[in-house]
Amino acid sequence: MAINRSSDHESDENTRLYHPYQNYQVPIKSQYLYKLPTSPEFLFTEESLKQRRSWGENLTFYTGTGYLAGSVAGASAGIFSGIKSFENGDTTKLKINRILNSSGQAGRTWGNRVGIVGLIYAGIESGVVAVTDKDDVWTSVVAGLGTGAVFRAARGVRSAAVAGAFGGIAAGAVVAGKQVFKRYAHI
Amino acid sequence: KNIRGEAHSNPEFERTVKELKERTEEFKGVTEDLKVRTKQTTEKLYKQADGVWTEAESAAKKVSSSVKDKLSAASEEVKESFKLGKEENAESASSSGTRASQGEKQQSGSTEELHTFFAKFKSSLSSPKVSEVFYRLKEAKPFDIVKQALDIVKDELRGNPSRKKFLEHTPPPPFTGERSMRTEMVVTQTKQSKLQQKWESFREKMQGSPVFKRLSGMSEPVVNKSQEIAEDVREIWETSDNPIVHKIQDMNEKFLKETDSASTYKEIRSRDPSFSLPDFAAEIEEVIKPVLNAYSEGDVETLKKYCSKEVIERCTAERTAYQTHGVLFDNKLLHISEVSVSVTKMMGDSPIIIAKFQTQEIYCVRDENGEIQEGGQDTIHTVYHEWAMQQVETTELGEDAIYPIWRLREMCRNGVQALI
Amino acid sequence: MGTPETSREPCPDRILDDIGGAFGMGAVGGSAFHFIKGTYNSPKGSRFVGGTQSVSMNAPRTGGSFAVWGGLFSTFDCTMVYLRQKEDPWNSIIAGAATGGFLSMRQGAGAASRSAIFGGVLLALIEGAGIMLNKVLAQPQNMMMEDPGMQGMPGMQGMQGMPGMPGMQGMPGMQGMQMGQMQSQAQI
Repeated sequence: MAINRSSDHESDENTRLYHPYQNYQVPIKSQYLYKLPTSPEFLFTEESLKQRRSWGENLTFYTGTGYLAGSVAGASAGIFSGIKSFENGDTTKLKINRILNSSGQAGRTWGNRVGIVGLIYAGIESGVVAVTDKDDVWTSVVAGLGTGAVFRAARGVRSAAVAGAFGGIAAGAVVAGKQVFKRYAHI
Repeated sequence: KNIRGEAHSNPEFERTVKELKERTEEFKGVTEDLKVRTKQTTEKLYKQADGVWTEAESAAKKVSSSVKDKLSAASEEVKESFKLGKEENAESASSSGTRASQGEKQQSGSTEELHTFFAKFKSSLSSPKVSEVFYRLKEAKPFDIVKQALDIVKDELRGNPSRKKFLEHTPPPPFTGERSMRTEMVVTQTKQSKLQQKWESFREKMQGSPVFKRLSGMSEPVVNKSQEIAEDVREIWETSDNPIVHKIQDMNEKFLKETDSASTYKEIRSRDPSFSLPDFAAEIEEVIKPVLNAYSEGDVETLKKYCSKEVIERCTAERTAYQTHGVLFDNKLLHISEVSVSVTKMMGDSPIIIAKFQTQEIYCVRDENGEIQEGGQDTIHTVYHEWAMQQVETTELGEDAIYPIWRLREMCRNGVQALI
Repeated sequence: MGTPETSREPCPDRILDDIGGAFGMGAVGGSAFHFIKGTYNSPKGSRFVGGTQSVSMNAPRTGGSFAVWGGLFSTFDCTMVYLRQKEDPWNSIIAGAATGGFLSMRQGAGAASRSAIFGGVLLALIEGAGIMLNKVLAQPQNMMMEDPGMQGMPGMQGMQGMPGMPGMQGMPGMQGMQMGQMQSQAQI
């Protein structure tokens, strides 16, 4: 019962064909190919569908992207402001120094700020997922809300509330956008 | 912050004030200790009034700035009601014109009816921002709520609102209202929660009962004796010479007692309750550039604004010395970074905060006729600076200052690194 | 780290992971340290406020410096892996030196070389510790590895008789195999 004529509904993309005598030049007909599963087999199907990151990966991923995005954006903004702040009497070295300074400065501040936001977001989201154990839009919205509030907590109740609302809306938009993108990207 | 807390109790306070008005009609005669207590509370109220003054002062500044970018209709209304607010409530703070105009209209409206002596206290105390927001939201119509929400968000987005200045001394706006000569004795009933009342009555009852009297008669000597013994023990402990006791005292000192900087912070807070370290650090960062430029150019006015006289003297002395030797420093400030508060300690009785930061400067020394003696047009140095900021007493500032401000007491450059 | 070095992500994601991890560690460690320092240095009444203020002022900075170091280190590490096509401690030592040098490049050659040496030595220590840790942790598994291997060998001889059996059916084949194993167990 050669597998390549197999009747079962095994979805094709996560199995690979394996020819037992591939490397050995033995004059045989190669109709026996076996379908070996590539991804680890899950006991329950829905577990395999959900590609969930463990809390560690979640933390490093969000903080990493946050910090990187923040510092790159800050650095580029810094370069522009550096160029703008040129004075006529500058030699090239001074110009470079000015650009380096301003881009470094802006990059560092924005990088830190967005990094902290990413760190808090990852922490709260893992917490929420651990508590409610479901990973959907609402989890991200709640996490965004929490992040905004915590980030601006030092600035006073009112600004914390405003920042919290803003964070919640932003997180909701991002997640909705991701889902829309995922749904249409395939087609 | 604690002023705002006290002001929070403002609604209950209003109620007690009304209640009190009826009480004063009933009994006219004021006992001696009531007079003493009232003097204390009036003093407290005056201090609060002063505290609120700065609140009003910053709010006033905000109102004027928000007036600029407000819609034209709303701005006239604000100006008109702002003027209205200012004249009619006499001597102390105008009802702090918070951003939204209605709030103010209601505010000034309510002050008109009261018009009694208490109006002064009520209006001065009713301006804290937070209760203001709730008060307005209750009153205003839905459309206004949206407008206010927009205001708040805009205010948030514009970065933190203008902070209280620590470094510069901004004299409060000239006081136009007339000053009331009458010093009125006012009976204020200290608010006692039900529990406390019950406890008070219980204690009086107990005091009266004979059993308690006999008991306290007997226990009196025992208590005194034990206190004396405790006193003696403490005396011996404190003034003992042997090193072990010293060692224990040092250990205790190191861990339990407050550190030096902690006591300095306490001292700073006691003098200037609204002091906040992050704002102070941010403000220093803003001030560094002008002060350093002023110092290198030697223009004394800006220095006078921020620095203490020692620094000014040193600056002028240095400049004259360099001029006599024909040395001209042409170092231009390029970049300031890594501003951080390093140490706080007491010097004499005035607290000192030492801030550290790095600057990048061009190091170029010219002689009289302009040739470069040392460094070069673009040799860049990273210089590590340390500034000692000292809190200056309000007495020195000038008669009408309310809060002490900080002045640069001493600066030193304790490290230079060449930078390619 | 018990898990062997290779179990981390492949190169491009590893950089992102390292930056995230370094920033997290820096920020959390920094905030803990500054919180304690802040509360220690603040008056009785407002200990907590003092602590949070010092955290909000200093923690992001430490987080940032950790992240810069971590990020640069792992980028250099990945380039080394790409250049030398093999994963070994030398990669990270060179990467550490490169990061040290790069960060203090602006203070001139002397300072740059000094901090490059410092970076290299630091990474050498870390790698050494990592290897020792692996050796210590992996020690017990090695002993177990030997005896199952030994048990496998005799089993093979037992199997030898099996191919000779003519006309092997599925079922009998199974029994043959078990018989072979029983023989080998008997032999040990």
